[in-house]
Amino acid sequence: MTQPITSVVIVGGGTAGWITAGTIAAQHQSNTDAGLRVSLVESPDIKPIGVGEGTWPTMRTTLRKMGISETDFIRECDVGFKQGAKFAKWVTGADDDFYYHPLVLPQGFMHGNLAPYWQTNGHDKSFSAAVCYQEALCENGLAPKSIATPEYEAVANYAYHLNAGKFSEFLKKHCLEKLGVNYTCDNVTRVISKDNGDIAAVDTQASGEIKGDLFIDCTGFHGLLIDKHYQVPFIDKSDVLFVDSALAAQVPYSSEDDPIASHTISTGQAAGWIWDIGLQSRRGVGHVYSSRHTDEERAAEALTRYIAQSVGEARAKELSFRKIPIRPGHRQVFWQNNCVAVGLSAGFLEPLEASALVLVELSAEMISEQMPTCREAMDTIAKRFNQTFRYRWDRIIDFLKLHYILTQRTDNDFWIDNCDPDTIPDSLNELMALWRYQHPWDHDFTSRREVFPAASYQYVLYGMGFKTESDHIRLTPQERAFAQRQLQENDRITRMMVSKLPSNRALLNKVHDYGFQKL
Amino acid sequence: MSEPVLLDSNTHKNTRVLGDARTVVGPVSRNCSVITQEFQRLASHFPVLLTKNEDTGQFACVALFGFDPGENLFVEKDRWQVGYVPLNIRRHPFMIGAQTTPAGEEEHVMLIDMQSERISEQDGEALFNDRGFPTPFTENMTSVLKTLKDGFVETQDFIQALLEQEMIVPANFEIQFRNGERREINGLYTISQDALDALTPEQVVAMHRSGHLQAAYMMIASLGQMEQLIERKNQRLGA
Ligand SMILES: Cc1cc2nc3c(=O)[nH]c(=O)nc-3n(C[C@H](O)[C@H](O)[C@H](O)COP(=O)(O)OP(=O)(O)OC[C@H]3O[C@@H](n4cnc5c(N)ncnc54)[C@H](O)[C@@H]3O)c2cc1C
Repeated sequence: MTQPITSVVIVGGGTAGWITAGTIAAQHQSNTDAGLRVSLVESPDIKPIGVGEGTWPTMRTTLRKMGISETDFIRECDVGFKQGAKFAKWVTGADDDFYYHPLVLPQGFMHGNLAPYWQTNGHDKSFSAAVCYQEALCENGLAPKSIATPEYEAVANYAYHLNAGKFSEFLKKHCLEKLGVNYTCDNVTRVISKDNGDIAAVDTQASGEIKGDLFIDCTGFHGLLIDKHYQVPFIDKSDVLFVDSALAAQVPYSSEDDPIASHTISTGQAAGWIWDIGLQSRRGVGHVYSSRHTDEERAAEALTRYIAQSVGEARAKELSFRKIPIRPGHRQVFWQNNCVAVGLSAGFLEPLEASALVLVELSAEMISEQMPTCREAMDTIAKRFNQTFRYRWDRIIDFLKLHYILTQRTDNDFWIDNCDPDTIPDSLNELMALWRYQHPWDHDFTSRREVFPAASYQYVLYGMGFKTESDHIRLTPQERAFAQRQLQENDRITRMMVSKLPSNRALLNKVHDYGFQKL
Repeated sequence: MSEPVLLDSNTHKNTRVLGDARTVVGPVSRNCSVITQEFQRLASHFPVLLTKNEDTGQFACVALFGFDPGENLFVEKDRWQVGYVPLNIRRHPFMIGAQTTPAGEEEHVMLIDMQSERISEQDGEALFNDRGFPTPFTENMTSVLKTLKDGFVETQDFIQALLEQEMIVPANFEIQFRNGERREINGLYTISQDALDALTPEQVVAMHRSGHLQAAYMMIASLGQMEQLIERKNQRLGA
């Protein structure tokens, strides 16, 4: 007799837990009698980690599929718009050193590669400014859309900056009130196993056993099921990505109409980098660093200095920092028996490209879309899930490492060690060898649903001044004409958008006053 | 920018207003906000649609006069050449303002735009008689403004009901004028006939009672005026 999957139990109520619960419950109609039963249990004593403020554009689809109104989300989670990242002081460390990784693809990207033409002809502008209008929007503090643009639709592709604590609360409310998720607030104390090693139930302090057919471990760094119970090995990546500590701060604006940056600013430091994220009511600023290359005291000084630039020394010194240890790496497998790890329990890498929440969304989506109908079908799906996500983690590691290996900074061993070939994954070394002679393009990335498209690699490589040798590049007259047209088109669109779009703060204020329409 | 001022029998005892409801003042626009109470009369002359206020993203009902910004195909030689002129145009040079009373309550007041081309000291309609009372012209204008004020509230209710029942759909037009010129018109919305057809009997009754059903059908029917509007444009193009 087959064992149908009728009930999913999620342990943990941070953003990972609620995104997973909401995604599965919405697709499988858990608010109807016939729907899949989705339950979530979270500890009253262990608070969610409360950081993780930068997202990907995928979040728009994730929220829409859950039936959430974008206006409510923006109003209640202190949300700001995010149009990509500005990397400052990553190449030379000089004050004028910066490049952008925008969210909009290069002009005409679906039809042709602009990098070869830009490299041989277009050098009066940075790569991202030449091929994409978004850098100009960010530099001018502009929003990615107007109040007349329907909810979730974009004029310029965008993601969000959000308050992580408010976001979990907001999702929880929606999951419980609208999506029919069952909720228990209690500590999970014990795992009850079946003979085949599957989890039959989790036991709680006061609410008894919670039975289920599929268990999702969203307990963050605690890894209650995947680590403590199954003891799935952790693959440590600190030999590739050195960042292992974070200091996080919340910085108030000086006045109610201070501009709000519509991109994440990531500024290189002696032994790490500082993130700077603009929410509506405050900024989230933090320093991630390598404890092998600096210590907490010096990192805190660097963070204070950075914050002082915008709010003055006196106010910067009043702020308290929260220390969060980070262990870069991921599980050897994510889906073991009838248990999947999603979120920090699956692994974590420095938040350089906000890749944590997007992995949560992608995991939740794949679990939900490929939800096994019965236990007998599960192992095949688990295997596929593990392959898919192992591939994704590996590509993310390559892409994060790419940000370090082209630096010219030598002011600290952190940067020098990062360029040591022994610390660079073979897969990245191989791509770099190719890109020395050929510009990155789609065929370099073979997987369906690649996390970072070739465009992202182009933005980082050419943003950091990488040279693909142009000796053997032969552009046909058609390719040249195509590229010229795209660059002109980009100029035109840039001018039009800069003149039309409102400032980021102005749009956020309007969302409060009027809200977006659904159409 | 003209700054409208409070209408006052003393300040404006010598002020007169030139022309009549068909006199065109200020920059011509391709549409104007309208209220549900005038849908029936509008529908026999103009397409009535929904559009978004650029500044707030909120929907408003509008009558359409042309295809390009600043194009009004019903105006010739500075006069409206059509059987019905929307109230929101006829009100000029007056408008409604809100002010707070000493008791802290909000009250509506009548404002006048003294920069309007229709303002004069010599000719035209007087606003107040010798004893300082409003003339019939002013009284008529007061009632137009009152109708508009109440009408905009009712129209918002109507729009809100349409939004709640998800009955609004984009109305994109692809027009070809007789001279061969093609035009895509975006940013307009109308009511979905399918959504109307799908209403339950209870919803139909509720919409009928609130007057929204009639307004909805008027709006859909007015789309027939689109052809007339294209024809007017063709004539202008000399095609
Ligand atoms: C410094 C830093 C910066 C980051 N920046 C970003 C970013 O910019 N973008 C991004 O996408 N991500 C970022 N992240 C990652 C992001 O914060 C996480 O991926 C995200 O918050 C998901 O966390 P989680 O839900 O997995 O874990 P948590 O938030 O830690 O939630 C764990 C949950 O498990 C529950 N729990 C634990 N033990 C038990 C038990 N025994 N019984 C019951 N419940 C239990 C807790 O109550 C809690 O609800 C950042 C992370 C760090 C550390």
